[in-house]
Amino acid sequence: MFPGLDTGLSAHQGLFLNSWHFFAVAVLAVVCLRTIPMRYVRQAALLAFNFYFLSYFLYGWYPVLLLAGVLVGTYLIGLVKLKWGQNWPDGVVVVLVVLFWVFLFLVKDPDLLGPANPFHYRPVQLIGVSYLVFRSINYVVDVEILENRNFLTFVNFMIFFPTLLAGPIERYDRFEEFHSTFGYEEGPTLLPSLHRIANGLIKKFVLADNLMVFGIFMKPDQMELAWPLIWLGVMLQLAVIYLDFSGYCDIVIGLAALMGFPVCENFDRPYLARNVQNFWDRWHMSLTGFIRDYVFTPLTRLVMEKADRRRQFAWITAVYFFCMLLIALWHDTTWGFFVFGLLHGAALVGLQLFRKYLSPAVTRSGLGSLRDETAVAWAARALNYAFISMTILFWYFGVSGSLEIIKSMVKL
Amino acid sequence: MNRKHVGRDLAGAVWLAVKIAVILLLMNSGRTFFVYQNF
Repeated sequence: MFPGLDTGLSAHQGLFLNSWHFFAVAVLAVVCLRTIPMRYVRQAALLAFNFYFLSYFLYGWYPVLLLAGVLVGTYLIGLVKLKWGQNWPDGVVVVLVVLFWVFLFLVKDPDLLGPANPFHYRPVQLIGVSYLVFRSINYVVDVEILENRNFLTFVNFMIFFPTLLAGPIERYDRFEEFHSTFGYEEGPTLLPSLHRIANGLIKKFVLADNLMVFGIFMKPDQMELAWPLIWLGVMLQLAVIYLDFSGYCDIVIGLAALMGFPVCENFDRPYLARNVQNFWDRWHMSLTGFIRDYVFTPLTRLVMEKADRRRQFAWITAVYFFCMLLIALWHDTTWGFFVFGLLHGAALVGLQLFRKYLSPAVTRSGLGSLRDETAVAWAARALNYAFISMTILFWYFGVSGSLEIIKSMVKL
Repeated sequence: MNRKHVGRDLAGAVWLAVKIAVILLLMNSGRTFFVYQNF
């Protein structure tokens, strides 16, 4: 670790982004991928770096076998789907996508479904399992329209080490394009990428980790805090998480760009969002884009085809709600995340109802122009920011803990 | 490459060095939210 740092975890529990070890691996990977002229040698070198990185997160044979199963299984499903061509029924794809999601939830939470969960008695720590499953779904659903489907490209895509831990969620078509070329020639030059990494390190390890000390996170009992400090701590929730996660993304996006893989962006100033829907358009964009393409759009298409015309709005609103709940429970299957999903889902549904039933009346009354007023826009941003921050409480303090904090905020 | 570009790159490199100094001096790790959780 850098001098004076203590992550509280031993060196055997991972390869950390702020360790000299990771720094050395990253530098070596960048040099190799920018200088090796032969394409297959360069791709084999990337494979070696991916496995080297993974080896620090896999403990024992069980997760190795599971990972191998996911890789080989996904690739074989892709081959079978290609072979069947037009004869492959849509229903099979739906079943496969559902099974991938079920597998993900069962691995992530061994207590889910109790003894019926195959991982209940033998939990497995498979690092970045969500990202593996998302990439599997992307590959299986879109395999016909993908190019360069050789096994080496596939495995490098699945376990690409800069984005393996926490995204952004890359798509195969974008990855393979840079996998077969010197991608860095089309991406940002050296200095902007280094600045991006430095910005990420500052956001993640200087700002977020220091701000957390001043928030309510580190206190043994946040209820002992003075009333203004409780408010400050609660309102810091979104800021800290944004700095933490977007800082991490800056680091990996900068590193991947240096390696020749300009990966997708994950944030677009989410603190400026005016409502919950706008927030999710700007926050963890690779996840919301994935849910949009592989859950929301297929379900709304189904609604448009099957549902009675008068009930389509109700069904589509329900799909919004379901997607929000899915995103929330993907983070963790706890009651806190469930309530977080309920609140965000309810806000999204409320927004759709407002747009359908109240917005035309507001426009007719002439009040619609108020939306463009700077003060109104900033008030909406502040309210939205406060709402998101308060709902994030449910991640860390559970339902009863969060309600206690909210009560103390309003001095009940 | 003209002088303007060289000057801009030099300023960028100095600014990067300042950022690295800030990171090394003020980094306070060990309290991770997202990264290293089993997503």
